[in-house]
Amino acid sequence: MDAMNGAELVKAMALLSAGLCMGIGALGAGLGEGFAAGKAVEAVSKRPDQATLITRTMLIGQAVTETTAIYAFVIALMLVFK
Amino acid sequence: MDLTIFKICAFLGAGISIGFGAIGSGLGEGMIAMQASKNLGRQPGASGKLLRTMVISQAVCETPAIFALVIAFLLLFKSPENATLVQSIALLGAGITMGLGAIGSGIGSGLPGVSASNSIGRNPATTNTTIILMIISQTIAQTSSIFALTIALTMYSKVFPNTIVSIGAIIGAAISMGAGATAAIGVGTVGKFAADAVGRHPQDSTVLTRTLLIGAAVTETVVIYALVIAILLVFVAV
Amino acid sequence: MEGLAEAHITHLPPMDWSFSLFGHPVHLVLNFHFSPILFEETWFVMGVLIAIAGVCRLALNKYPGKLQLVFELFAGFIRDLSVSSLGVKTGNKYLPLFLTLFMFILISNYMCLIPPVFQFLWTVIALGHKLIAPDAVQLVYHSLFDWKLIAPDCTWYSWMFHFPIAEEPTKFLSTDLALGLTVLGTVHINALRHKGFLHYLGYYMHPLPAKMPWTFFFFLNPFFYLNIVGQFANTMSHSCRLFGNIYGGAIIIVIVSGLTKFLVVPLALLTFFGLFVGLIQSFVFTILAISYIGAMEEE
Repeated sequence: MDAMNGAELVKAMALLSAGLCMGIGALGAGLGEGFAAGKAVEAVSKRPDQATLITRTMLIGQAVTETTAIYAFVIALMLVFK
Repeated sequence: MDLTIFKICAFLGAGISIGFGAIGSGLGEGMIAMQASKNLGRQPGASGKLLRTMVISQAVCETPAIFALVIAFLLLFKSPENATLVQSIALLGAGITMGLGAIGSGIGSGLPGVSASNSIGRNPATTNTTIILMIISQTIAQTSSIFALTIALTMYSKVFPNTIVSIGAIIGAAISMGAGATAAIGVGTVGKFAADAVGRHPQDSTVLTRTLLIGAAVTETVVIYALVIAILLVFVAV
Repeated sequence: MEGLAEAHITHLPPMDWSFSLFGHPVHLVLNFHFSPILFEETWFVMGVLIAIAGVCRLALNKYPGKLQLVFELFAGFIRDLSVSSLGVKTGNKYLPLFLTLFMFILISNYMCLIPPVFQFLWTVIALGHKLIAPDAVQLVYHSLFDWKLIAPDCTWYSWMFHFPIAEEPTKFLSTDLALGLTVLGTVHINALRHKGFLHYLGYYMHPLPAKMPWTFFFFLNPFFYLNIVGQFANTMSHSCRLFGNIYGGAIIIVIVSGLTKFLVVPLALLTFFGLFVGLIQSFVFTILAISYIGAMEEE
């Protein structure tokens, strides 16, 4: 390996932490959205005529949950490109 | 010395890949078998259908472990023609990606099979619709392990530049894709409720499939974020 | 591990792809996506399918015999699936596509049943050849560890070792990607024709509303790009699932057969990975194609 100076080490650590950030950040959001969608499917099975209303509510709830994942995504992008 | 490190990383990667990768599929298939046995006790008359469903769902749930096994074999038999430190860490990264990525997919594939068994135990007449919905949700839950497989294969065959930045990028991409694919457990939960619901109301299977696909697709976007970061790290930031 | 298994995996010509991604040159060397006889294998599968179609067409009977009953049941099953998911009009329109996808992938996956006859013959002839030579015992012992000792490339039967093994065409990423792109094209063209351009574009703004003032700002909508990436990720996962399953099974079978130098056939592995996984993966591919067309059409 070529000369290992401070700037390169910092960049390497930045890339590593970008991966760490997105990886663990995606975990919780994915699990939560999955639970929301699951219960929505169960509700649609009980009242199939209300399918559009239930789907819309589910999407709103999932979008709010997604904001945490978006925070992690934005930080990871900034780490990759800084 | 470089050759030793190459072999160490290759073997370590292979071990991690199949070692961690087998956890998810093992758990998933075990849960399926557990529910199948319970439902056999509840309704022994439907034993043919229950057994068939169990075998089909277990075979589909095996896929993430097969992917992990493929990466492990490829790593074991990799010929050392470019044995630098960065290439060795790339092999290790490939193993970590696939190993961690297959955990969530395995469990997420097992959950729909669990409630499909319950549905058939409750009402054996709905077997065919339940099996179809179960297979659809299982395969959607495996999308995360497919993403992990592509990242692992890319790390396996790409020639990385010989700097320390590459090492950080590789490990980062491995953790990003590997941990991010654990969100497949959420996708499996959607499938679990879908298979349950179609057992209770088999006439609504079209609406349920559509809702399942929408919900699973939105949950999958989180894994796509992780995939985008991993691709950026492996191709652009290196 | 030296020997046959590694020779099989790495003897494919490495194709070097170089392109530039955001200005950075990228070099990918992928040697698991092409084979010397890939096109011939695909033509063989197509020939089998056309032969089956011809035979069935000529032997159609009003009172079906056993074989015709099997085909009718199978066609009726897939027709029920597609009509119940897509409605009568679209379901019947794309029924030939689904049937063809299912049968093509099924027969391609079952090409794994063709055994490596020439490699087996080479092993037998080489061992026999060396047994009638002096130092036979030493040579047999050493040959178990190194193939080149018992048969150098200058014998009359050495071409058998290098004869390409009949493989599944779906084992290579190119075939699976082609199938996936076919489904992608069908999905989007059907959606465009069914819904019109504006309604189709409104799908990509999900979950933000696609009412009139917002459609002008669709470039600012972050979910727009995410949904587009999601469509490509859908196609990629669709084809890579088939690729991963079949390629993985093939690697496992080749390595285990290579351990016994192609003399013993691992029957249990072959049944599971070849027959069972092949059937289930072709079924999964077809069902997912039906679901994608239905999901895109209705939204």
